[in-house]
Amino acid sequence: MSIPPVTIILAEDDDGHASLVQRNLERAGLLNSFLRFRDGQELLDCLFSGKAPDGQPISPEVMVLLDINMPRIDGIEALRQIKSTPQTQKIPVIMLTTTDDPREIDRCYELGCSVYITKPVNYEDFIEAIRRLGLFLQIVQKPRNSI
Amino acid sequence: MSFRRLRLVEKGLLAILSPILFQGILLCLLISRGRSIQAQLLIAGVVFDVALIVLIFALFSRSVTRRVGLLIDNSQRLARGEPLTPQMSGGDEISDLDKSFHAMADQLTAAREAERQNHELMERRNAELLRANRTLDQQSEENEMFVYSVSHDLRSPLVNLQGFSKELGIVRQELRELLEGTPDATKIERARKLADSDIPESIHYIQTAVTRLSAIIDALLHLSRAGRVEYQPEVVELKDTIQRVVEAMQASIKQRGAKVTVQTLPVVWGDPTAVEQIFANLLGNAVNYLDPDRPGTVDVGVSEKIPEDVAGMQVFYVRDNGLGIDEAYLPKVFAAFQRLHPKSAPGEGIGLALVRRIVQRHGGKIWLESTKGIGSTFYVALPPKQSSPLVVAPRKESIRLSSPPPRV
Repeated sequence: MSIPPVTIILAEDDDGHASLVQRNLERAGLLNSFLRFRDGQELLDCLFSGKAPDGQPISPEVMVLLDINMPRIDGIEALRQIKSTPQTQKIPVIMLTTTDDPREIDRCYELGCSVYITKPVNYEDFIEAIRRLGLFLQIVQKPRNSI
Repeated sequence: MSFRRLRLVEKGLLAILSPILFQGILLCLLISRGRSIQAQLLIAGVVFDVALIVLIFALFSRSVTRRVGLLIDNSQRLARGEPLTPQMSGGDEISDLDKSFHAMADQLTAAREAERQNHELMERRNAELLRANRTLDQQSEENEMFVYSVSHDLRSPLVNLQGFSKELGIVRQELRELLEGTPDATKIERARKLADSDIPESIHYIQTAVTRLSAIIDALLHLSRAGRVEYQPEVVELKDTIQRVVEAMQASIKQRGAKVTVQTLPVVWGDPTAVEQIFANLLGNAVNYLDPDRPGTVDVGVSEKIPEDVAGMQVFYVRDNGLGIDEAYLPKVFAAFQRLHPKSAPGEGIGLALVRRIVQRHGGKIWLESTKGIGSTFYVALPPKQSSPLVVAPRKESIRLSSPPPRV
């Protein structure tokens, strides 16, 4: 059975947060191809062009992890653009942010995010959310620490 | 004594008594003459009586009717709030009543005037309260925004502190497991990776987070101090102040290849340290946020154009041809913990919040004009010595009606 590899794309301006996410994904064995951007603009450029910064086409199956407070285009605006563009609107988006303002959470769900997770992240819940969305996307799982 | 000056009772008595008196005289005549003409005289007397009574009553009632008419007119005027006709002469009850009407009218006018003045005062107070309320609303909104920004800024390094200390725990556990039994090449390789890359990375982020947290707390203390410190106002030679600031910044000016021009500057009235802080921040920003792609210029001088709301103040400008500020960010420029170009220079984003606070406490005003990609001009208006209300207690400042909101 050929399953297209799922790419997890993270847009996060804080290097530490990005590293934590990456480490936890790795530990959970979710070793899909992984891309990280530092703001919403870079993310949208990649999604809309279908190409990673190195010019390689990205997998047709992607999942986006979005921080809200980012320079240039912030997470909310990026989410809005992803969900209002037919070509990208089916992409599952997990909001991953320090903001627990209920209005902001409501706004994200209104705009169509799949899951909203508040930092500091409980990584068990986070991985659980990814797995569930991954089942939906038939995410590829590899055994832990395999090279 | 004229008839009009008599009281009403007196007038009535006169009307009735005068014929009787007249008849008495007639009777006296009857007695002194013969009875033959008695009847005729009596008839004549009666006729005369009747005529006299009719005449007197006609006179009496005409006068009363006219004067009561005036009274009615005045009472109606009083009801409508119009000025009354001049007070009538005479000393009877009608003129007394008229006098009372006039007194009432005077009182009413005075009461109306007092009410009008009260009303005006109330309107004025109301407008002041509305203004104060708006200022408070705005300040409370700013405070909310401030707390929101601070808590976000605090939480960001906390996430790293929490996450990476947990990582250290996990790595320790993994190392423990690797050390069990006989370590083979793969295990040693893995342990080496953990020690050389995972652990140092965790420590790096933990240290960065601690530094960042400590910087935020320092910034908060700084801000709170700017609101509390007592100012010692004096005449400040601004030229010397700016020169000191520029000299202190020489290294970064050179590094950025910037050209700083200082026009002729007058003396200002203020706390020397605070004034230096204002210009050090503005000049620092101007130099730090220059566009690296073109030769930077920074210009300091006195503005000829003085907006109406700062009339009578000295207005200074610090102009640069730097990165400029996007219109969308202009309202946040003076808010604490808001950074537009975090990569251009280190800092917590409290510089302009501090400057605004200092300028406001000097009774002045700060605002800016900026175009993205062209540059920014910051204006500082400082009041002259006599009118400078150097606010010592920050509490006072927050309810001062005259402190204008930033024009951004």
